[in-house]
Amino acid sequence: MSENVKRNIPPRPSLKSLEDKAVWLSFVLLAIGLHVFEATLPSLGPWFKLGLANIMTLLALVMLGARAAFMLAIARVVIGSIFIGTLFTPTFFISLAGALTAATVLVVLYKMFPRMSLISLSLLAAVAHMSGQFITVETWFIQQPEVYYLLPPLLLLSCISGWINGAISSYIWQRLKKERL
Amino acid sequence: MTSENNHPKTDTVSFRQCLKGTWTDRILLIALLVGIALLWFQIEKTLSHGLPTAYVYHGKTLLASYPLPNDDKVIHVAAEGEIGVSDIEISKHGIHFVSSPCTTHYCMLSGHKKHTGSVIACVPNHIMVVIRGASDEAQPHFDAVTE
Repeated sequence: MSENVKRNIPPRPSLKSLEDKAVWLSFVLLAIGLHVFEATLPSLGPWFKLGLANIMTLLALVMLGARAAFMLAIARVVIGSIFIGTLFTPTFFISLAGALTAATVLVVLYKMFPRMSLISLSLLAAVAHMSGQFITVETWFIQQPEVYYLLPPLLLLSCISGWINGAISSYIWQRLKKERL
Repeated sequence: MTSENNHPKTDTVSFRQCLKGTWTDRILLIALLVGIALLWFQIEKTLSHGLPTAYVYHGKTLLASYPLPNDDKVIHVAAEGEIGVSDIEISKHGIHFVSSPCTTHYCMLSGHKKHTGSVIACVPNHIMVVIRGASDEAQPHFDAVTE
């Protein structure tokens, strides 16, 4: 110890923190993979995606905490858009705004109601994601409130995808908990 | 001894169980659906009066407005946006983006929209076309209002 101090060597990180970093990194890679995979799928309609990558954000939230989930959402959109080729295009900014809104809602709700189920969290995050995207489109791009006419059908689809993503996250989380025990 | 007793009881969670959610989840879903339905109803109510008219916008600027024709007349609007010109077709079949300078072409993939309240937006080009009932200032007796 005193030898390390003399040589100005920082103390070794704990095994737990290294494990958390490894898990976070694997979640980021999975989220990017899902993000890119979704971009290759035929679109169910303009402006709508299944949001499969949000499963990883939800898992990061319950396993690693709020900061990890928030960083994952940003990393996923930025690195994913490099692979898709949409970096700094309107699609990128809309996607980033949606991801940030959803992550903020997730973190706030998780802090306020720690016993809230993953399906409820996912549902509200999906609705927030879609709303965040529309607010960005209306504020920066289209600048016409009529764009909100598109919102109700897309919110409906968001509820469906949010529920399914929440159920998938819940299933994975329960399996992981069992594996850890 | 039954086969059940031979194996230790496992409490594995099936995906189907997860998909059902809890009562709180279901109540939240119903509340959200009711909210969305009310929002949708409100929008429909606001728009469903007057002659269906297509409004073409670039950002905040109204470029053109045309009542949807009942005959075979086809109107083409060349809407100049941020990255180029979008060709918009207005006919009895509704509104339709024929061509667009954007790369995603979501606007073109939207197809024809005819109903009041329909919107097609080309986000990269900042062009939006919306169908709503003609308001007083739109002067629906004119063939077109342009800026």
